Amino acid sequence: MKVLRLPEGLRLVDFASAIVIGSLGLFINTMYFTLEYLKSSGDVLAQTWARPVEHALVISTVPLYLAVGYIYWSQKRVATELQLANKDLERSKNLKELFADILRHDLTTPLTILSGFVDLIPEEKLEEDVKENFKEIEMGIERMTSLIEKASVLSKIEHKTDLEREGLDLVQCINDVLWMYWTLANMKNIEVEFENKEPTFVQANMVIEEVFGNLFSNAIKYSPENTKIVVDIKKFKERCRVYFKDQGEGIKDSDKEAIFTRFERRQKGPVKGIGLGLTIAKKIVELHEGRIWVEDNPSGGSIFIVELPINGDLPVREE
Amino acid sequence: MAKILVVDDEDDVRLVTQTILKKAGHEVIEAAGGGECLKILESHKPDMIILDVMMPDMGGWEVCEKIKSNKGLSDIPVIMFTVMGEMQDMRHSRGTGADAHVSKSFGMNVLLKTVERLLE
Repeated sequence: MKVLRLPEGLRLVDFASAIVIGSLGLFINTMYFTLEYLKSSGDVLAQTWARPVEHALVISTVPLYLAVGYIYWSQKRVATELQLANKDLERSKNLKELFADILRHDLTTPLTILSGFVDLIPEEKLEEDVKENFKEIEMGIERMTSLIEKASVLSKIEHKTDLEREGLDLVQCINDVLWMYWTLANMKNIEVEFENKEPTFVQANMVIEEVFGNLFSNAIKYSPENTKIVVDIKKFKERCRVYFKDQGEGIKDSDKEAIFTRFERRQKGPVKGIGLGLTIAKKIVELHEGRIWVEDNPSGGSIFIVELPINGDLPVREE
Repeated sequence: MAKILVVDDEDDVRLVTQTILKKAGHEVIEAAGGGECLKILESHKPDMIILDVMMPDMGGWEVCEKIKSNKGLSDIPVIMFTVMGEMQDMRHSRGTGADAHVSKSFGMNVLLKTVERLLE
Protein backbone atom coordinates (compact mmCIF):
# COMPACT_ATOMS: atom_id res chain seq x y z
CA MET A 1 0.00 0.00 0.00
CA LYS A 2 1.30 3.46 -0.94
CA VAL A 3 1.64 5.62 2.14
CA LEU A 4 2.24 9.34 1.82
CA ARG A 5 4.02 11.07 4.62
CA LEU A 6 3.23 14.72 5.26
CA PRO A 7 6.80 16.07 5.54
CA GLU A 8 7.84 14.56 2.19
CA GLY A 9 4.74 15.77 0.33
CA LEU A 10 5.02 19.25 1.72
CA ARG A 11 8.77 19.52 1.19
CA LEU A 12 8.30 19.08 -2.59
CA VAL A 13 5.55 21.68 -2.75
CA ASP A 14 7.48 24.08 -0.50
CA PHE A 15 10.55 23.85 -2.72
CA ALA A 16 8.56 24.59 -5.88
CA SER A 17 6.75 27.45 -4.18
CA ALA A 18 10.01 29.02 -2.99
CA ILE A 19 11.38 29.10 -6.57
CA VAL A 20 8.19 30.37 -8.22
CA ILE A 21 7.31 33.02 -5.62
CA GLY A 22 10.93 34.11 -5.25
CA SER A 23 11.38 34.57 -9.03
CA LEU A 24 8.10 36.41 -9.46
CA GLY A 25 8.79 38.57 -6.43
CA LEU A 26 12.21 39.53 -7.81
CA PHE A 27 10.71 40.32 -11.21
CA ILE A 28 7.95 42.51 -9.76
CA ASN A 29 10.40 44.29 -7.49
CA THR A 30 12.69 45.10 -10.43
CA MET A 31 9.76 46.37 -12.45
CA TYR A 32 8.55 48.54 -9.58
CA PHE A 33 11.90 50.27 -9.15
CA THR A 34 12.17 50.72 -12.93
CA LEU A 35 8.73 52.36 -12.93
CA GLU A 36 9.66 54.70 -10.09
CA TYR A 37 12.87 55.64 -11.87
CA LEU A 38 11.06 56.39 -15.15
CA LYS A 39 8.42 58.50 -13.38
CA SER A 40 11.03 60.60 -11.58
CA SER A 41 13.50 60.96 -14.48
CA GLY A 42 11.48 63.56 -16.37
CA ASP A 43 12.79 62.20 -19.64
CA VAL A 44 10.00 62.33 -22.24
CA LEU A 45 11.01 59.09 -23.90
CA ALA A 46 11.25 57.42 -20.53
CA GLN A 47 7.82 58.80 -19.54
CA THR A 48 6.31 57.07 -22.57
CA TRP A 49 7.71 53.76 -21.27
CA ALA A 50 6.19 54.23 -17.79
CA ARG A 51 2.69 53.14 -18.76
CA PRO A 52 3.65 49.85 -20.49
CA VAL A 53 5.92 49.05 -17.53
CA GLU A 54 3.00 49.73 -15.19
CA HIS A 55 0.83 47.38 -17.25
CA ALA A 56 3.55 44.73 -17.22
CA LEU A 57 3.71 45.05 -13.44
CA VAL A 58 -0.03 44.51 -13.06
CA ILE A 59 0.03 41.59 -15.49
CA SER A 60 2.99 40.01 -13.69
CA THR A 61 0.98 39.77 -10.49
CA VAL A 62 -1.48 37.42 -12.24
CA PRO A 63 0.95 34.45 -12.46
CA LEU A 64 1.98 35.22 -8.89
CA TYR A 65 -1.62 34.79 -7.71
CA LEU A 66 -1.95 31.72 -9.94
CA ALA A 67 1.25 30.26 -8.47
CA VAL A 68 0.09 30.89 -4.91
CA GLY A 69 -3.30 29.38 -5.78
CA TYR A 70 -1.67 26.34 -7.36
CA ILE A 71 0.58 25.83 -4.35
CA TYR A 72 -2.39 26.11 -1.99
CA TRP A 73 -4.33 23.60 -4.11
CA SER A 74 -1.30 21.24 -4.23
CA GLN A 75 -0.94 21.34 -0.49
CA LYS A 76 -4.63 20.64 -0.01
CA ARG A 77 -4.37 17.72 -2.45
CA VAL A 78 -1.35 16.27 -0.65
CA ALA A 79 -3.13 16.68 2.70
CA THR A 80 -6.26 14.95 1.35
CA GLU A 81 -4.25 12.09 -0.15
CA LEU A 82 -2.38 11.80 3.12
CA GLN A 83 -5.62 11.66 5.08
CA LEU A 84 -7.00 8.95 2.79
CA ALA A 85 -3.76 6.97 3.00
CA ASN A 86 -3.75 7.27 6.79
CA LYS A 87 -7.37 6.10 6.95
CA ASP A 88 -6.42 3.10 4.77
CA LEU A 89 -3.51 2.36 7.07
CA GLU A 90 -5.65 2.65 10.19
CA ARG A 91 -8.28 0.37 8.68
CA SER A 92 -5.60 -2.12 7.75
CA LYS A 93 -4.15 -2.05 11.30
CA ASN A 94 -7.61 -2.52 12.83
CA LEU A 95 -8.32 -5.43 10.48
CA LYS A 96 -4.99 -6.99 11.41
CA GLU A 97 -5.79 -6.70 15.13
CA LEU A 98 -9.29 -8.08 14.58
CA PHE A 99 -7.88 -10.95 12.55
CA ALA A 100 -5.35 -11.69 15.31
CA ASP A 101 -8.15 -11.70 17.92
CA ILE A 102 -10.31 -14.03 15.81
CA LEU A 103 -7.34 -16.32 15.24
CA ARG A 104 -6.57 -16.33 18.95
CA HIS A 105 -10.13 -17.25 19.88
CA ASP A 106 -10.84 -19.75 17.12
CA LEU A 107 -7.50 -21.51 17.34
CA THR A 108 -6.98 -21.49 21.10
CA THR A 109 -10.39 -23.02 21.85
CA PRO A 110 -9.85 -26.26 19.85
CA LEU A 111 -6.31 -26.46 21.22
CA THR A 112 -7.70 -26.22 24.77
CA ILE A 113 -10.11 -29.06 24.01
CA LEU A 114 -7.35 -31.14 22.44
CA SER A 115 -5.02 -30.47 25.35
CA GLY A 116 -7.78 -31.34 27.85
CA PHE A 117 -8.47 -34.71 26.25
CA VAL A 118 -4.75 -35.49 26.00
CA ASP A 119 -4.49 -34.75 29.75
CA LEU A 120 -7.32 -37.23 30.36
CA ILE A 121 -5.45 -40.14 28.85
CA PRO A 122 -4.01 -42.14 31.78
CA GLU A 123 -0.24 -42.10 31.36
CA GLU A 124 0.26 -45.34 33.26
CA LYS A 125 -1.78 -47.25 30.69
CA LEU A 126 0.43 -46.13 27.78
CA GLU A 127 3.28 -48.14 26.29
CA GLU A 128 6.70 -46.50 26.72
CA ASP A 129 7.10 -45.52 23.05
CA VAL A 130 3.53 -44.17 22.91
CA LYS A 131 4.23 -42.14 26.05
CA GLU A 132 7.01 -40.33 24.19
CA ASN A 133 4.67 -39.61 21.29
CA PHE A 134 2.11 -38.14 23.68
CA LYS A 135 4.74 -35.87 25.20
CA GLU A 136 5.50 -34.58 21.69
CA ILE A 137 1.78 -33.94 21.13
CA GLU A 138 1.54 -32.05 24.44
CA MET A 139 4.59 -29.94 23.62
CA GLY A 140 3.24 -29.22 20.15
CA ILE A 141 -0.06 -28.01 21.58
CA GLU A 142 1.75 -25.82 24.12
CA ARG A 143 3.96 -24.27 21.47
CA MET A 144 1.04 -23.57 19.15
CA THR A 145 -0.99 -22.02 21.97
CA SER A 146 1.94 -19.88 23.05
CA LEU A 147 2.63 -18.78 19.46
CA ILE A 148 -0.98 -17.75 18.89
CA GLU A 149 -1.09 -15.81 22.16
CA LYS A 150 2.20 -13.99 21.58
CA ALA A 151 1.49 -13.28 17.91
CA SER A 152 -1.77 -11.67 18.96
CA VAL A 153 0.04 -9.29 21.33
CA LEU A 154 2.80 -8.60 18.80
CA SER A 155 0.28 -7.69 16.09
CA LYS A 156 -1.09 -5.01 18.40
CA ILE A 157 2.20 -3.32 19.23
CA GLU A 158 4.63 -3.96 16.35
CA HIS A 159 3.40 -1.02 14.24
CA LYS A 160 3.40 1.41 17.15
CA THR A 161 6.05 4.11 17.38
CA ASP A 162 4.69 5.77 20.50
CA LEU A 163 2.47 4.82 23.42
CA GLU A 164 0.09 6.86 25.50
CA ARG A 165 1.31 6.91 29.08
CA GLU A 166 -0.18 7.48 32.48
CA GLY A 167 0.98 7.24 36.08
CA LEU A 168 1.31 3.52 36.77
CA ASP A 169 2.11 1.90 40.10
CA LEU A 170 4.71 -0.79 39.44
CA VAL A 171 3.95 -2.50 42.77
CA GLN A 172 0.31 -2.88 41.73
CA CYS A 173 1.40 -4.19 38.30
CA ILE A 174 3.62 -6.84 39.88
CA ASN A 175 0.88 -7.85 42.31
CA ASP A 176 -1.47 -8.32 39.33
CA VAL A 177 1.11 -10.50 37.62
CA LEU A 178 1.63 -12.61 40.75
CA TRP A 179 -2.16 -13.00 41.10
CA MET A 180 -2.41 -14.20 37.49
CA TYR A 181 0.43 -16.72 37.70
CA TRP A 182 0.02 -17.89 41.30
CA THR A 183 -1.28 -21.33 40.32
CA LEU A 184 1.52 -21.94 37.79
CA ALA A 185 4.16 -21.15 40.42
CA ASN A 186 2.33 -23.23 43.01
CA MET A 187 2.20 -26.28 40.72
CA LYS A 188 6.02 -26.35 40.73
CA ASN A 189 6.16 -25.52 44.41
CA ILE A 190 8.08 -22.34 43.60
CA GLU A 191 8.36 -19.81 46.39
CA VAL A 192 7.76 -16.25 45.21
CA GLU A 193 9.27 -13.34 47.10
CA PHE A 194 8.08 -9.78 46.47
CA GLU A 195 8.53 -7.47 49.41
CA ASN A 196 7.93 -4.03 47.89
CA LYS A 197 4.88 -2.40 49.47
CA GLU A 198 5.25 1.34 48.83
CA PRO A 199 3.58 2.47 45.57
CA THR A 200 6.21 3.21 42.91
CA PHE A 201 4.85 5.29 40.05
CA VAL A 202 6.27 5.61 36.55
CA GLN A 203 4.84 7.17 33.39
CA ALA A 204 3.96 4.09 31.36
CA ASN A 205 1.34 2.40 29.25
CA MET A 206 -0.64 -0.50 30.73
CA VAL A 207 0.90 -2.76 28.10
CA ILE A 208 4.08 -2.78 30.21
CA GLU A 209 2.28 -5.40 32.35
CA GLU A 210 2.67 -7.82 29.42
CA VAL A 211 6.44 -7.49 29.86
CA PHE A 212 6.29 -8.29 33.57
CA GLY A 213 3.84 -11.15 32.93
CA ASN A 214 6.14 -12.58 30.29
CA LEU A 215 9.26 -12.34 32.46
CA PHE A 216 7.53 -13.85 35.48
CA SER A 217 5.97 -16.72 33.49
CA ASN A 218 9.38 -17.38 31.87
CA ALA A 219 10.97 -17.48 35.32
CA ILE A 220 8.40 -20.12 36.34
CA LYS A 221 8.89 -22.11 33.13
CA TYR A 222 12.66 -22.24 33.39
CA SER A 223 12.87 -22.80 37.16
CA PRO A 224 13.18 -26.29 38.58
CA GLU A 225 10.65 -27.37 41.18
CA ASN A 226 11.10 -26.26 44.81
CA THR A 227 13.13 -23.16 43.93
CA LYS A 228 12.59 -19.48 44.56
CA ILE A 229 11.79 -16.49 42.34
CA VAL A 230 12.52 -13.04 43.68
CA VAL A 231 10.82 -9.98 42.20
CA ASP A 232 12.16 -6.63 43.27
CA ILE A 233 11.71 -2.96 42.36
CA LYS A 234 14.45 -0.41 42.90
CA LYS A 235 14.02 3.29 42.43
CA PHE A 236 16.89 5.51 41.25
CA LYS A 237 16.96 9.25 40.70
CA GLU A 238 15.30 9.33 37.29
CA ARG A 239 14.51 5.68 36.65
CA CYS A 240 13.17 2.47 38.09
CA ARG A 241 14.36 -1.08 37.75
CA VAL A 242 12.27 -4.22 38.07
CA TYR A 243 14.22 -7.44 38.70
CA PHE A 244 13.08 -11.03 38.10
CA LYS A 245 15.57 -13.42 39.69
CA ASP A 246 15.19 -17.14 39.08
CA GLN A 247 17.23 -20.18 40.03
CA GLY A 248 17.05 -21.92 36.67
CA GLU A 249 19.93 -23.06 34.49
CA GLY A 250 20.89 -19.53 33.52
CA ILE A 251 21.67 -18.17 30.06
CA LYS A 252 24.98 -18.48 28.21
CA ASP A 253 26.79 -15.21 27.53
CA SER A 254 26.54 -15.88 23.80
CA ASP A 255 22.71 -16.08 24.04
CA LYS A 256 22.14 -13.05 26.22
CA GLU A 257 21.28 -10.75 23.31
CA ALA A 258 19.89 -13.34 20.91
CA ILE A 259 17.03 -14.29 23.24
CA PHE A 260 15.47 -10.89 22.61
CA THR A 261 15.39 -11.52 18.86
CA ARG A 262 12.34 -13.01 17.21
CA PHE A 263 12.28 -16.83 17.01
CA GLU A 264 15.53 -17.33 18.91
CA ARG A 265 15.25 -19.65 21.88
CA ARG A 266 17.81 -20.41 24.46
CA GLN A 267 17.40 -24.17 24.62
CA LYS A 268 15.43 -27.06 23.29
CA GLY A 269 13.70 -29.25 25.77
CA PRO A 270 10.47 -29.81 27.64
CA VAL A 271 9.66 -26.13 28.08
CA LYS A 272 7.31 -24.00 26.09
CA GLY A 273 8.10 -20.75 24.38
CA ILE A 274 9.33 -19.90 20.92
CA GLY A 275 11.11 -16.67 21.60
CA LEU A 276 8.36 -14.24 20.60
CA GLY A 277 7.68 -13.26 24.21
CA LEU A 278 11.02 -11.59 24.80
CA THR A 279 10.90 -9.90 21.38
CA ILE A 280 7.58 -8.39 22.38
CA ALA A 281 8.94 -7.43 25.80
CA LYS A 282 11.92 -5.66 24.22
CA LYS A 283 9.69 -3.80 21.77
CA ILE A 284 7.37 -2.63 24.56
CA VAL A 285 10.24 -1.54 26.82
CA GLU A 286 11.90 0.36 23.96
CA LEU A 287 8.63 2.14 23.24
CA HIS A 288 8.96 3.45 26.81
CA GLU A 289 12.58 4.57 26.14
CA GLY A 290 13.65 1.88 28.57
CA ARG A 291 16.05 -1.05 28.51
CA ILE A 292 15.73 -4.77 29.10
CA TRP A 293 18.60 -7.19 29.58
CA VAL A 294 19.64 -10.33 31.38
CA GLU A 295 22.45 -10.95 33.87
CA ASP A 296 23.68 -13.99 35.75
CA ASN A 297 22.17 -14.53 39.17
CA PRO A 298 25.09 -14.89 41.63
CA SER A 299 23.13 -17.64 43.41
CA GLY A 300 22.53 -19.51 40.11
CA GLY A 301 20.01 -18.78 37.35
CA SER A 302 19.23 -15.50 35.66
CA ILE A 303 18.16 -11.98 36.52
CA PHE A 304 16.01 -10.23 33.93
CA ILE A 305 16.04 -6.48 34.44
CA VAL A 306 13.64 -3.89 33.04
CA GLU A 307 14.69 -0.28 33.41
CA LEU A 308 12.14 2.47 32.82
CA PRO A 309 12.36 6.23 33.05
CA ILE A 310 10.19 7.47 35.94
CA ASN A 311 9.13 10.45 33.86
CA GLY A 312 8.25 9.14 30.40
CA ASP A 313 10.02 12.03 28.67
CA LEU A 314 13.41 11.25 30.14
CA PRO A 315 15.46 8.69 28.25
CA VAL A 316 17.24 6.02 30.27
CA ARG A 317 20.91 6.77 30.77
CA GLU A 318 23.65 4.21 30.54
CA GLU A 319 25.31 3.36 33.85
CA MET B 1 -16.45 -32.97 46.46
CA ALA B 2 -17.86 -29.67 45.26
CA LYS B 3 -20.72 -28.65 43.01
CA ILE B 4 -19.27 -26.61 40.14
CA LEU B 5 -21.15 -24.64 37.50
CA VAL B 6 -19.31 -24.60 34.17
CA VAL B 7 -20.39 -21.82 31.81
CA ASP B 8 -19.08 -21.84 28.23
CA ASP B 9 -20.78 -21.47 24.86
CA GLU B 10 -18.45 -24.08 23.31
CA ASP B 11 -19.94 -27.58 23.80
CA ASP B 12 -16.57 -29.30 23.58
CA VAL B 13 -14.97 -27.02 26.16
CA ARG B 14 -17.83 -27.83 28.56
CA LEU B 15 -17.43 -31.52 27.78
CA VAL B 16 -13.70 -31.66 28.47
CA THR B 17 -13.97 -29.39 31.54
CA GLN B 18 -16.75 -31.42 33.12
CA THR B 19 -14.95 -34.69 32.32
CA ILE B 20 -11.81 -33.50 34.11
CA LEU B 21 -13.77 -32.07 37.07
CA LYS B 22 -15.86 -35.24 37.43
CA LYS B 23 -12.70 -37.34 37.30
CA ALA B 24 -11.39 -35.23 40.18
CA GLY B 25 -14.57 -36.09 42.11
CA HIS B 26 -16.67 -32.96 41.60
CA GLU B 27 -20.29 -32.63 40.62
CA VAL B 28 -20.82 -30.48 37.50
CA ILE B 29 -23.73 -28.37 36.29
CA GLU B 30 -23.49 -26.86 32.81
CA ALA B 31 -24.69 -23.63 31.23
CA ALA B 32 -24.20 -22.69 27.58
CA GLY B 33 -24.30 -18.93 28.14
CA GLY B 34 -24.42 -16.05 30.61
CA GLY B 35 -28.21 -15.85 30.63
CA GLU B 36 -28.59 -19.56 31.32
CA CYS B 37 -26.01 -19.27 34.11
CA LEU B 38 -27.99 -16.54 35.88
CA LYS B 39 -31.19 -18.57 35.41
CA ILE B 40 -29.58 -21.61 37.05
CA LEU B 41 -28.33 -19.45 39.93
CA GLU B 42 -31.94 -18.55 40.76
CA SER B 43 -32.54 -22.13 41.88
CA HIS B 44 -29.06 -23.53 42.60
CA LYS B 45 -26.15 -22.34 44.66
CA PRO B 46 -22.97 -24.03 43.41
CA ASP B 47 -19.71 -24.08 45.39
CA MET B 48 -17.85 -22.55 42.45
CA ILE B 49 -18.43 -21.08 39.00
CA ILE B 50 -16.11 -21.44 36.00
CA LEU B 51 -16.96 -18.71 33.51
CA ASP B 52 -15.94 -18.14 29.91
CA VAL B 53 -15.57 -14.45 28.94
CA MET B 54 -16.62 -14.30 25.29
CA MET B 55 -20.16 -15.61 25.01
CA PRO B 56 -22.81 -14.45 22.55
CA ASP B 57 -25.75 -13.72 24.84
CA MET B 58 -24.01 -12.20 27.86
CA GLY B 59 -20.25 -11.91 28.41
CA GLY B 60 -18.56 -13.56 31.39
CA TRP B 61 -17.39 -10.26 32.89
CA GLU B 62 -20.95 -8.94 32.99
CA VAL B 63 -22.16 -12.20 34.54
CA CYS B 64 -19.39 -12.05 37.14
CA GLU B 65 -20.32 -8.46 38.09
CA LYS B 66 -23.94 -9.53 38.56
CA ILE B 67 -22.92 -12.48 40.73
CA LYS B 68 -20.52 -10.45 42.88
CA SER B 69 -23.06 -7.65 43.39
CA ASN B 70 -25.72 -10.12 44.56
CA LYS B 71 -25.44 -10.60 48.33
CA GLY B 72 -26.76 -14.14 48.14
CA LEU B 73 -24.20 -15.21 45.53
CA SER B 74 -21.16 -13.00 46.08
CA ASP B 75 -19.39 -15.56 48.27
CA ILE B 76 -19.25 -18.13 45.43
CA PRO B 77 -15.69 -18.26 44.03
CA VAL B 78 -15.60 -17.39 40.31
CA ILE B 79 -12.83 -18.47 37.95
CA MET B 80 -12.66 -16.74 34.59
CA PHE B 81 -11.54 -19.43 32.12
CA THR B 82 -10.89 -17.76 28.80
CA VAL B 83 -8.74 -17.52 25.69
CA MET B 84 -8.15 -13.89 26.66
CA GLY B 85 -4.79 -14.30 28.32
CA GLU B 86 -3.31 -10.80 28.26
CA MET B 87 -2.60 -8.91 31.46
CA GLN B 88 -5.24 -6.32 30.62
CA ASP B 89 -7.82 -9.13 30.42
CA MET B 90 -6.71 -10.46 33.78
CA ARG B 91 -6.98 -6.94 35.25
CA HIS B 92 -10.50 -6.70 33.84
CA SER B 93 -11.43 -10.02 35.47
CA ARG B 94 -10.02 -8.84 38.77
CA GLY B 95 -11.99 -5.61 38.45
CA THR B 96 -15.26 -7.52 38.11
CA GLY B 97 -14.55 -9.36 41.36
CA ALA B 98 -13.43 -12.70 39.92
CA ASP B 99 -11.35 -14.82 42.28
CA ALA B 100 -9.00 -16.11 39.59
CA HIS B 101 -8.28 -15.69 35.90
CA VAL B 102 -7.02 -18.76 34.06
CA SER B 103 -6.02 -18.43 30.43
CA LYS B 104 -7.18 -21.43 28.38
CA SER B 105 -3.65 -21.56 27.03
CA PHE B 106 -2.49 -22.62 30.52
CA GLY B 107 -4.33 -25.91 30.06
CA MET B 108 -6.77 -27.97 32.08
CA ASN B 109 -4.29 -28.97 34.77
CA VAL B 110 -3.84 -25.34 35.78
CA LEU B 111 -7.62 -24.91 35.87
CA LEU B 112 -7.98 -27.97 38.08
CA LYS B 113 -5.23 -26.77 40.40
CA THR B 114 -6.91 -23.35 40.66
CA VAL B 115 -10.22 -25.04 41.49
CA GLU B 116 -8.53 -27.03 44.27
CA ARG B 117 -6.80 -23.92 45.65
CA LEU B 118 -10.00 -21.90 45.81
CA LEU B 119 -11.92 -24.76 47.42
CA GLU B 120 -9.35 -25.17 50.20
